[in-house]
Amino acid sequence: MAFLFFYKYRNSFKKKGLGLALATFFSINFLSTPVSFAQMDSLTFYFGKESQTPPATYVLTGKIRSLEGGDALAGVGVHVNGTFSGVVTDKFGFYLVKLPPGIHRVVFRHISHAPLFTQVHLFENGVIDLDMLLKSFELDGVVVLSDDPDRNVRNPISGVAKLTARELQAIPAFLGEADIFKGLQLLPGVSSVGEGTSGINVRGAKTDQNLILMNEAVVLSSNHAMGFLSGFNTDVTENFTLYKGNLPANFGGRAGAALDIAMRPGSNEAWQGQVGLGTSNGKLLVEGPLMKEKLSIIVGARGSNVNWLLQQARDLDIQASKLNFQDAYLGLQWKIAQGHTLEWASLATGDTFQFSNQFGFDWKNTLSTIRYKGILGEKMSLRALVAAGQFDNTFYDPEGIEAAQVTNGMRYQQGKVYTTWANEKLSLTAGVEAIHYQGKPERLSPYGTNSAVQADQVGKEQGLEGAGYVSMELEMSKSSSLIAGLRYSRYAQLGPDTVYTYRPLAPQSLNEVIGSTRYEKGTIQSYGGMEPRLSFRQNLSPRTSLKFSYARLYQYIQTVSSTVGPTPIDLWQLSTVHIPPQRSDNVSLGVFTNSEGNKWEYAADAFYRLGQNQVEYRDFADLFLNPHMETALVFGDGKAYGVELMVKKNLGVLTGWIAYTYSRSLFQSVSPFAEEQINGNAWTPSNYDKPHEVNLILSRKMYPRGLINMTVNYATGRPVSAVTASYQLNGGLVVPDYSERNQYRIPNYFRVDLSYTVEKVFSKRGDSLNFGVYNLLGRKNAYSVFWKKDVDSQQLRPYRLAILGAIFPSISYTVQFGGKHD
Amino acid sequence: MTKFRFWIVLVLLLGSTACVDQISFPLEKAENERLIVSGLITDLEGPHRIYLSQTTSSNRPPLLSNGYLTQNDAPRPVQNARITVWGNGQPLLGEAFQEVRPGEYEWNPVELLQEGISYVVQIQVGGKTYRSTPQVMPSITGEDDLSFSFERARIADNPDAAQLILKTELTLPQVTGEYYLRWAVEEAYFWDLTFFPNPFNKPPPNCIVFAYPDPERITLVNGKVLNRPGGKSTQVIAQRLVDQSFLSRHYFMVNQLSISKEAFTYWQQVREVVNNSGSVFDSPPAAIRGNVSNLNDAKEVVLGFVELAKSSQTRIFTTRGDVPYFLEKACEYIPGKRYDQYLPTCLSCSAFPNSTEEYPAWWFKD
Repeated sequence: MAFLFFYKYRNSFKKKGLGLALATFFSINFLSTPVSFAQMDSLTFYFGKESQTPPATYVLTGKIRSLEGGDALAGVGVHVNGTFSGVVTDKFGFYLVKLPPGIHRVVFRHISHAPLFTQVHLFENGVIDLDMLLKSFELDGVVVLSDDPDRNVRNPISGVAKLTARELQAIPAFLGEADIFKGLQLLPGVSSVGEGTSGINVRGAKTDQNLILMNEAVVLSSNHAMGFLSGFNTDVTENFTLYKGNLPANFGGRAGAALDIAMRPGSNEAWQGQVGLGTSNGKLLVEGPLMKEKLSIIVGARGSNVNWLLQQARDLDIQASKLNFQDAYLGLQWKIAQGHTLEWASLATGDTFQFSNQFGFDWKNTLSTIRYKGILGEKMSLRALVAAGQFDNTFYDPEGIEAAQVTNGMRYQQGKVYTTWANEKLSLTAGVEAIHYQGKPERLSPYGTNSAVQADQVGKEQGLEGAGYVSMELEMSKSSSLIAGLRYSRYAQLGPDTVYTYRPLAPQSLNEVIGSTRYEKGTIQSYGGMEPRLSFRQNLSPRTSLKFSYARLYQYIQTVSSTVGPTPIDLWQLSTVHIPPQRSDNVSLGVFTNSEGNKWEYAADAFYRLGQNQVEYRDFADLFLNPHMETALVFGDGKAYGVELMVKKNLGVLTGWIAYTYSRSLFQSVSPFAEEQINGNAWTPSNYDKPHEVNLILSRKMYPRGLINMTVNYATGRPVSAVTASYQLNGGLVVPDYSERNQYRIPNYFRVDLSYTVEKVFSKRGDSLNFGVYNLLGRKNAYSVFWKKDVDSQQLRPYRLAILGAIFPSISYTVQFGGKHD
Repeated sequence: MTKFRFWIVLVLLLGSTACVDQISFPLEKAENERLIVSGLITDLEGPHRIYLSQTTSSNRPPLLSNGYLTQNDAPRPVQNARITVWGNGQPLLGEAFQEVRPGEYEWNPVELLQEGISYVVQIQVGGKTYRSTPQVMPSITGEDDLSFSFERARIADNPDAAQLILKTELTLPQVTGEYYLRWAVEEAYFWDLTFFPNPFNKPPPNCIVFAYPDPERITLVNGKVLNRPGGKSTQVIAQRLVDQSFLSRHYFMVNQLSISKEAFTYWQQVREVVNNSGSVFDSPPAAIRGNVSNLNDAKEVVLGFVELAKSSQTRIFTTRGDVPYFLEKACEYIPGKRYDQYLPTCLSCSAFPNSTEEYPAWWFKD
C-alpha cells in the first residue's frame, strides 16, 4: 500500500532561526501493519494512541532529503534515546527502524547537515519524512571520513573515503585555499609526486589510473594552476568520494582508483552569493532560483593572482615567469516533477604559463553534462547522462630558428544510463555506458617571424569504449553483507589511422619499420574483457568487521609523459594495435573496528595490485609529433602492495587521525630487446614509489569560538636516477653519466602546517578569522635532485630543488552577510 | 538565504618560493671505470683531435697531490692508445693519431676527408679494440654571418651582467630535408702579461689564450623540420661575460658543423641532461650512449661520441673600442706591488690551460 505524506515543520525551524523548510514528498509501502500519519507544527510526532495490548514493536520509517538540492540523503544516522540505532538511510534516503511502543527521542544526524531532533509518540507504525539543512559554517574540525558513524565498519567496500567541501576548509591549506587533491593526500594510501604537480597517486597507481568523475561524467584533465589547485572549485562542490581500488561495477575505464565528485546545485530558495579576494585568486559565487522551487542556477568562477608571488622568488627564471588561470562552473537544476530532476553542469578551466623566456603552455579544459535523475516507483530509480568534454593544449618554444608551437588535445562524448532497484536488504543496479574519444590532430607551426619551421601535423587515434554492468548489494544478515558486480567492457580503435608494421622478432623502433597500413574508417583493433567485482564484509563483533575486496579493471586510455609527475601537456593516448589496454587485479583485506560510541576508529587495510601492459617511457622519449608512439614507450607489468593503518578520533575537544602507509609501486619491463627494457627487466621503483608515509591531522576546539588545526606529513623520498660519473666534452661541457633508472631517492619529506580559526570576531551575525602557516618549520623539502657544474672543480655537484622551500603564513578574514539560516 | 561573503586575505611571505641548495647525496660509484671517447673529425685540414679518458669508479686508487692522497673523481686520461681512421671499410694507410698530451691525440690527414664516404674510427687500448659506428661525411652546410653586441642582460643568477652576445645570421642550405647542424664556438684573445719596467727585463712574450666562451650552450638545427631553403634566420650562439679578456683583440671562431642524424640525437640528449634543473617539466635524466663500442664485448658501456662533420668556419673579433664598459687592466704594473701579488695569469701565459705565445696564422688576416 502506498501513501503520500506531506509534512511541514516551518514553525519549528523558525524558532531555531533556520528558515523555511520545504514540504516533502514520499511514497512507501507497508504490507502488514496499519499506518497513520501526523501533520504537526512542531518536531513532535504522534502516531496512534496508547492501547492495552500493543505489539512488541512498531515500524518508524520515512525518507530524508537535503533541503538545498532536494536529493535523497544517504548515510543519515538514526539515534534513538541517545543511542545510535545502527540504522542509516540508504541511497534513496529511506530508513526503517523498529521500536517498542512509547515516546522516543529520535535524532537524525549527518556529517554535513544540521541534526534534527524529534520526539516521537509511537503507538502505531509511523512515517516521518524530513529535509535536512546543510550546516552553516561552523568550526567542525576534521572528523571527515564517515558520513555516518559506523560506515567504516558496515560498508562492505574497504578503502572508501569521503570528504565534503566544508570539511576541507578545516584543513590547513597553502595560501588558505582549500583543495580537494591536497585534502585527499592526508588520507592513508594517497600521495603525490611532489609539490607543484597535480593529481594524486592512490595505492601506488599512476595519476592517469584514477577515474575522475564530475556528476558522473568523466573528467580527463584536472591539471590546473600548476598543480597547486585542482579544477574543482570547492565553493560549487558538494562532496568527494574516493574509491582506492575496489571499484563497484558502475565504475570502470581506469586501472586504479575512482574519485567521484558531486557538484552542488544552486539554492532553490533565494538568491545568494559570495565574493572572495585572496593572495592567489579571486572568486565569485552566485546562486539562486530562476523559478522558485523549480529551476535553480549556480555559477562559480575563479581567477588567478599569482604573478606577484612569482616575482618574490629568488630564482630569476621564476621571477620572469607568468602564470594565469581561470575556471568557471555553471549548474542548472530543473525539478521537472516530484522525483524527476534534470541537471545541466558545465565546467571550464583555462591556464597559461610562461617559464621565463624559454617556453610556455596554454591549456583549456571544458566539460558539459546533462543528467536526468528519476524515481520510477517505490523501489526503482533511473539515471541517465550525456556529457561532452574536450581539452586543448598548446606549448611553445620561442627561441631560435626552430621556434615553434605544438597544439594537441582530445574530444570525447559520454553517454550513460542505469537503473537501481532496492529494498531494505537488496539493491540491484544495471547500466550501460559508452565513451567516444577523438584525439585532435597534433599540429606543429612556426612561432614568431624568425622561425623557419615547416608546419606539420600528426593524426591522433579515435576510439569507442563501451561497457555494461550489473551490481548487487546484499545485506545477507546483520553481520555480513556483499557487493558483487560484473562489468563487461569493450574498446575499439577506429579509423582513420595508419598502423605501422615492425620487423618480426625485433624491437618496435623506427629502424625496424617495414611497412604501414592505412585504415580510413571502421574498427582497426578491438579489446575487451570481463571485470568481476566483489566486496564482502563479515562482522566479527557488532563493532568490528573484516572486509575482503577484489576488482579487475581495464583501462583503454592513458597519459603519455616523459616527466616525473603529471604536467599540463601530458598526452592522452588511446589503446592501439601496438599499445594494448592496461589491466589490473586488485585485492584488499582489512579489519575495521570502532570503539563504544564511535569515539575512536581503527583500521588496518592491506592491498595488492597486479598490473599488465603498464606503460613507461623510454629514455629520451620523443613524444610529440610522433606518429608511432609505441616506439617511445616501454610495456611491462606493474605491482603495488602495502598496508594502511589508521587511528581516528571522532568525538571530543580534540579530533583527528594518524595514518601510516607502507606502500610499494614497482614496474618490470618484459621485452627481450634492450631498447624496450628498463634496468634489464628488473623490478624498478616507479617515480611515485614512497614506501613510508605518515599523516597526522589534529583539530582542537578552543571554546567558545576557536579551532586549531595541525597537519604533519612525513614521506620517504621518491626515487631518482643519480649521477655516478661525469666527463667533459667541448672543452668545458661536463656531461653527467647517470645510474640505472630510479636507483636512488631524494631526501625524505617532512612538513607541518598549522591554522587557527576564530568565529564571531567582529560581527555577531557571523564572521571568522583564520591564521595559517604552511610549512611551519620552513623545511626545504626537495621536489627533485639534480646535478650542476661546480665552476672551481669542474665537477658536478648535487643540488635540491624545493618548490615551496619556505614558511608561508597567511591571514584570512571571512564575513557573511544576510541569509536566513544561522 | 541571502549570504554575501567577503574574503580579505593577507599573506606575509617570509621567504621566497622555489629555492635551490647544494646538498650531500651519497652515491655508489660504478665498479668499473668506463672509457670516454670524444672527438671531432672534419673535412678540413687538421689537426683533428680525439680525447680518451676514464670515468671514476669505486676501485679507483687515490692520487698523491701536494703531499696528500686525494680522491679526485674527474676523468683521468687514457694514454698509449692507437687510433686510426678507416674509410669505406679500409684503414687509411699511414694515418694514425699521435698522442700530444696525456689522453689527447691529434691527426693531420694527408688527404682531406671526402663527402659521401663512410668513415670509422678504431681505437686500440689496453688490449681491447673499440670502433665508432660508420658515419658518412655530410655535404650540406649553411652560411654564417656573425655579429656581436654588448648588452647588460641576465646570465645565470646575475640579472644585470655586462656581456657579449654572439649571433649568427644563418643562411639555410638551398635544400630541404635531412641535414643536421651544430655550432661549436671557440675564442682566442690576446692577453697582456705584466711588464715589470726594469732595464734588464725584456718585454713579456705574446700570449694568445684559447677557450670555450659558452660550453653549456648546444645550438642545433634539424633541417628536417625547416622549410625555407636559402632563408635567413638569426640565432644566438654564445653569451659571455665581459671581462679583461676584452682589453685587446678577442676572436670568436665559429664552426658550423654538418653532422649525422646519430650525432644530432646524441647532442640533443646531452643538451637535455646538461640543462636539467630538476623542474616539473624536465624529463628524468638518463645515461647517454655514444657511438663507440667494444668489438669483443658489446655490453661494455663506452661514453662520449666521435663526430664526423663537414665544417664551415667563420671568425669575428672585438677590440677594446667596441666595449662600452669600463675595463680595469688586470695585469698593469703597479709600483710597490709585490711580484707574488699579481695573478699567476699576469706572470706567465702557461698559467692558462690552453694558450700559446705564437699568433695563429689567421690572427691578422681578418
